[in-house]
Parts: sequence; structure tokens; C-alpha cells
Amino acid sequence: MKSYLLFATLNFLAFTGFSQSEFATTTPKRFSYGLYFSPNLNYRTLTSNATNNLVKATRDQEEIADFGFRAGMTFDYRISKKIDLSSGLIFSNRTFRTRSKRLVWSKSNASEAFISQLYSYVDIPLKVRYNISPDQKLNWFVSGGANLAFLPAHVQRNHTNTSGTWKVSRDRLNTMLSFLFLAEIEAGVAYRLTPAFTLRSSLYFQHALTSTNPNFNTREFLYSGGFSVGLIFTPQKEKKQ
Amino acid sequence: MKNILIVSLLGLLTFSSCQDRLSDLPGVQMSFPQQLSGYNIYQGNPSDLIPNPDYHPFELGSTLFADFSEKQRLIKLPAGTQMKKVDQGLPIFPDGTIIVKTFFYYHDKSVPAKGKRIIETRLLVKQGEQWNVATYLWDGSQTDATLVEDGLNTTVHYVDENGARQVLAYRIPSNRECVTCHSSKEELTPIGPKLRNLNVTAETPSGATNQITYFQDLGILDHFDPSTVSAVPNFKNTNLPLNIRARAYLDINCAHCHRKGGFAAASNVDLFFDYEASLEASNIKAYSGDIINQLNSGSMPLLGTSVLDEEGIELIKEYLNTIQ
Repeated sequence: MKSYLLFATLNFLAFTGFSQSEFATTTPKRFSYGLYFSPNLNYRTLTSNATNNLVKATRDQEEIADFGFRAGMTFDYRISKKIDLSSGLIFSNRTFRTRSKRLVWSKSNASEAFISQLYSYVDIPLKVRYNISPDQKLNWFVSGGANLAFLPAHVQRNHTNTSGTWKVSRDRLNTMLSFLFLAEIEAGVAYRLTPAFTLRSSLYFQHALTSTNPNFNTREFLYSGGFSVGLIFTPQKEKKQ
Repeated sequence: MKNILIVSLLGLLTFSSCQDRLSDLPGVQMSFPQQLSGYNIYQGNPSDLIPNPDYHPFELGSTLFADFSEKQRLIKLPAGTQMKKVDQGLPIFPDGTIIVKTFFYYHDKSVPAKGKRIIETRLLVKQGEQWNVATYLWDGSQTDATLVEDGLNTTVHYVDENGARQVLAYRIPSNRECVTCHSSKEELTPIGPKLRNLNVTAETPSGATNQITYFQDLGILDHFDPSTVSAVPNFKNTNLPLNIRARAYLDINCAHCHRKGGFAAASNVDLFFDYEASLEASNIKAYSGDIINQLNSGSMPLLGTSVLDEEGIELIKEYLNTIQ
């Protein structure tokens, strides 16, 4: 691990220290491509049209937020110096879980268990990014837009600890999920390593506009907040003299 | 970029076109009381599950695997009415029939006297010549159960018959999930109480007797010779031939979807597990590899289980090996 870090640092210095001459000879093309990764925290809210609120009340009492992640590719299109359109193809893993439940087997013997619900989607975001300081190496930005999540999969994991070690069993559920639409806001900073490569980092929040189960009376809306990192490649073209 | 916009728009249109409401489904056309006690099913302490005299317990030759839960099955017919035989399958139930299935776990399966946790009671009620479904979730005090329309999960733990501790993420189904398995030709129907599955020797108040004869004696089933109806045996009976046991297992666990008019047939899967279907007509041989893969991976059954039925899967594997 140490040698990887050293290698990465040296590369970073080499890029940032010795590639200044390119600034003078090239200009960025309009399209950029990037790799994206984000650990995040997910939770859900429920609305109920049922004849009573027992399911909502029970689930609200038992279910809590859990960690997930997003990873994929991003595509940016520069409209102007300050405005970009941003999209991509991102695998999103949105999870929530129940509180750990104490299982009492006998008066002197207890253990614990919880259930996690894992929703996987492929996301296509479509956001407008406003670059606050596009000419600086450190460019602060804000963005906002929508996110279409499709190709859903739902896995339930049963985590149990009956003998001091956690065991996990999984069950693939078929709860007729649909497309999801989410609104997203984001704020962050991009650091230009070289004219071609930029490191981007942001904080974001996704707000569900549609539920995972529109056919049910107790509807579930997913929310995510997280920290993202990305490496962006912007092809260069020769500057006209 | 234009393509992404088009994909997004198409997605929105697709999504908005599938917003059908629960009330559009078969199976939820009547309003159910909020509490199970509204049906006056049990006498005394409800958690003892002692039914009132008008609710008749019944048994099935082979039972559906439901995460190792115990089940109590009851049927109530309006006074003076009868079920009427059609063929080997479901009889015609009179309007007003109530079928009750209660799911519970003994705290210690080897010592039932240690008590039990009742999870849910599912009702099928025939009203206006149409079946309706409802699920009731039992409260912590085990005195009553409340109507739930949507599914939820609950952690269940118990000691099995071998003394091993078991923990499950038990799924209480939504109405929509109920309807998925109980649908036949876009109508809701019961699954278990087919005549061939009721044609067993059961423990009754008058001792062990043929269940069909017992129901006829009670006056709730029309008269016919029980020997004219086939009998689905208990697939756990190892004295029976392997093919009979396997087909009994597939009939009760899979045939409600995998039959003509069932959920799977609607998805163009031409695999038919009805007990009466011949091996050729069933297409079991052609699908044998898929059957094992689906069972092993837990992809099948589609709904209603969260753990693998290893005993059942072994039985089916053994059977499929013999027909290769």
C-alpha cells in the first residue's frame, strides 16, 4: 500500500510540476470523461394511503439509514466557460437496514440480528454545473439536476450473530420496482492536475421524486447523501496561433 | 446528450404508465375489518388458536414451504351451504366462504409447550362470487392482529427440532404479492384446498378419518366417492416412490404459478407442475437444468420464502436425475 501511495504522489508531482508548458499550446475540447466513486449514506421515507398506518409506523420504528456506494463513468459537455452539462452511467447501491434486534433464546443467552435492504440501480444523471472559478487551478462549483435510475434489483440480507460472529444470508426479492427519478444537488471543488486531468470532489444529496413501489399503499422514497471523488480526463486540441 | 434526454423521457413515460393502483387488482374489492377479532375466529385466548365451532381445521396432503413456519388452516362456510366437487382440483366454494391460514413459530420446535410466536393470519374471503385477500399482523401481546395491506419484514428466531438456533428475515406479503401467486386467468383463487390435496387421513374430533368423508359428514362438502379423487401424498413420506413425492412437492410449491393461466404461464414459461400433468406435458425434462439452478440460487419460488428449502431441493434434484 505504501509503495502505491508513493507512486501516486510522484505521478501527481510529475503531472503538476512538469506539464505547465502544455497550458500555452493546447485548449480543452468540449467533452470530458471521468471515473466516479462515492461512498454514501442512504435512508428512506414512507408515505401511507393504507386504511391504517401500521406498516409505516412499524417500519419507521425499526428501519434506519445505512451505507452504500455509487461508482461509474461520467461525461461532461462544456457549454461555456462557466456552465457544463454533466451526465454519466453510474451503478448505485442504495441500502437501508433495521435496527439491531436482541434475540433472547433463554434467560442467560441472547444474540442479535438485523435485516438490510439493498436496492441496486444504474443511474443516468443529467445535471447543470456552474463553475465559480473556472480559470483557477482550484475551481469551486455547484450543480443541480435530475437522475434517472433504472435496471433495479432488490436484495434482502439477513445479518445474524448467534455465536459471536456475524453471518449473512441473502434473498433476492421481486417487489416490482420501477424506474426512479431523483433530484440531485451537489457542491464541490475540482483541482486541475494537468490541462487534461482534473480531480473532482463533491458533497451531494439525492432526493427521491418517485417511489420504489408506486403500486403499494405504503410508498417508499429513497434518499442519499455522500462524498464523491472523480478523475476527469479532458482531451486537448492544439491552440490556434 | 440528445439520446440521454430521449432515454429519460421514455423512462418517465414508461413509469407514469405503470401507476396502477392496488384497487385495480383482483383480490381487494371488499373492505376488511381493521382487526382480525372482527371475524370471531378464535375462542378463549386468541393466541391458543382454538377455533370457534364454525371454523373447521383442515389438513393438506403436501404443504407449501414457507420458511419453516407452522401453519393452522381453517375454513368457514355460511350455514347450510356446501363446497361442490368439479374435478380433482378446487371445489366450488359458496359465497361467503372464509379460508384462514395462520403462520407461527414455536420458540422451541422440539418442545411446543414452551410457547409460540404468531406472526400473521391470511384470509381469503369469497364475496360477490369473487375471492378477496387480506393479511393480518399479530401484535406483540398476541391478543389480536391488525390488517396490513403492504408487505414488511420481521426477524424471527426459534430453536429447530434438532436444537439448532435459527434466525430468519420473515416476509409478511403485501396484497399485491398475495395476488401474484393466487391469480389464475386473472382471477384470484385459493391454492391449497384442492380436492386431491384434501383427500388425506386427518385428525378430526371423531379420530383419524378421511378428510373428504369428514367434511361430507359435517355437511360442508357434497357427496361423492373420495376414491374418485386422486390423493396428493405427503412428499416427506420416504416410503413412497421418488417420482410421486417429487411431483407432490412441485404441485403444492410451484404449480400455482406454473400451470395454464398461472403467473409463470403469463410470462411465457411453458412449464406445468400440476400433479395430473404427464411428464411429457409438464416439460419438466426440458427445463430440468433451469429448475435446479433457479431453486439453488433462491430465485424460485419467486415470492414467499427467504431461505432455501434444502430438503425439497434435494428431493427435486434426485428426481430430475432419474428422468435424464
